[in-house]
Amino acid sequence: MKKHLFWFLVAVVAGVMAHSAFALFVPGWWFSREVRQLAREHGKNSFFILSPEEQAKLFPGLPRFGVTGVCVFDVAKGNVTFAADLPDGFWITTIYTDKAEAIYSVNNRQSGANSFTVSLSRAPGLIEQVIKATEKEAIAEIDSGWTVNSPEPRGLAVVWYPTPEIGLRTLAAQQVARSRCTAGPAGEG
Amino acid sequence: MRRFIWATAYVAFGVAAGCFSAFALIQSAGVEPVTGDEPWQSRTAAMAGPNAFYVRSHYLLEGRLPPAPSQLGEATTETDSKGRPLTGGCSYLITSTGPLPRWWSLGIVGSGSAGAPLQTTADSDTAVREADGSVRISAARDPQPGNWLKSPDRRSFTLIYSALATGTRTIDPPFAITRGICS
Repeated sequence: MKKHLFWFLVAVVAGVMAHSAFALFVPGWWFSREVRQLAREHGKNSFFILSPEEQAKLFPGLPRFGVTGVCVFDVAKGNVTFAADLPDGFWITTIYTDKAEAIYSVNNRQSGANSFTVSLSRAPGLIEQVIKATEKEAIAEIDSGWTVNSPEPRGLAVVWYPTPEIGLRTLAAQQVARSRCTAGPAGEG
Repeated sequence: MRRFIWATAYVAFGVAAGCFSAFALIQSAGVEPVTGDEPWQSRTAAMAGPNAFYVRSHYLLEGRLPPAPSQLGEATTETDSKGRPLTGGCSYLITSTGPLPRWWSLGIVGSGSAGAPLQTTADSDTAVREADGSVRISAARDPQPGNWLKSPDRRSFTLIYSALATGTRTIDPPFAITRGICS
């Protein structure tokens, strides 16, 4: 009896560890595969328009006639600049980490402009924050446009531009494709 | 040898139970019924609550991204208005029951597979309205007159409703789902 109780407790501990490991790692790993696939096909730190099939996979609830542009960014080695150049009309720009956490979102009315620049950088870790807080001289940082700090090194900057009919999709895609995503701070490259 | 087999069985059972419980929690956490008599459910409100981690994990496991917070809301249903599962073997009539938001979208996804074939959608720009301003959409395998969403062949499916969000309030899809003929 004691033997079975012991192994039952071992099973419970194994279950708790498996639960935690599954919840913490499996979903992120599963989605990272999709992100890596997009990066392999379209490149990292470059802006591209999703095909209707790719759009249906990422956003199954959105109409097929809309245009979705994506930049798979990687800020592990340095800042990435997302320069949006969007046509008139309703649009939504959202920046997600590769763990599907939305860290920034704006629509055309909130933005007030169809052309804007977002500087994507890695959020400082705890030690870096402590060091910065204790530095006597703060280094002046040039702030050009908006700045978004990502807690993860990789993520997606997504632009969604709905169109009322499929005939306008191609034209809208050409206009949305003017947006750029480049490695390096804003103002360079 | 017998002890080793028992030990392995206990540990394997524990690991399996742990993984299953995590999967079940990810699939069910944050799902709240939307107010009203219709079967719509939404995770929108839970994205900002204590279950946000599990809700995001749900989207990750499905290989898709959650709707942009405070921009778009989303609700889903896997049953008709009488609680019967949605299946490609039956036709359905989706009828608006009240005022529609400025922008909305209704789509069909095959259940349980993010890699399902291209889904069909109807939205505020493309749906044809009735004379009284309401919207009637047929969901069936074969083409139907008027607004039509193609449902998968003889498989269960999910309806996804998206609309412009108003703050963090859960959106309330103004659509009733009535089952028609089943083959």
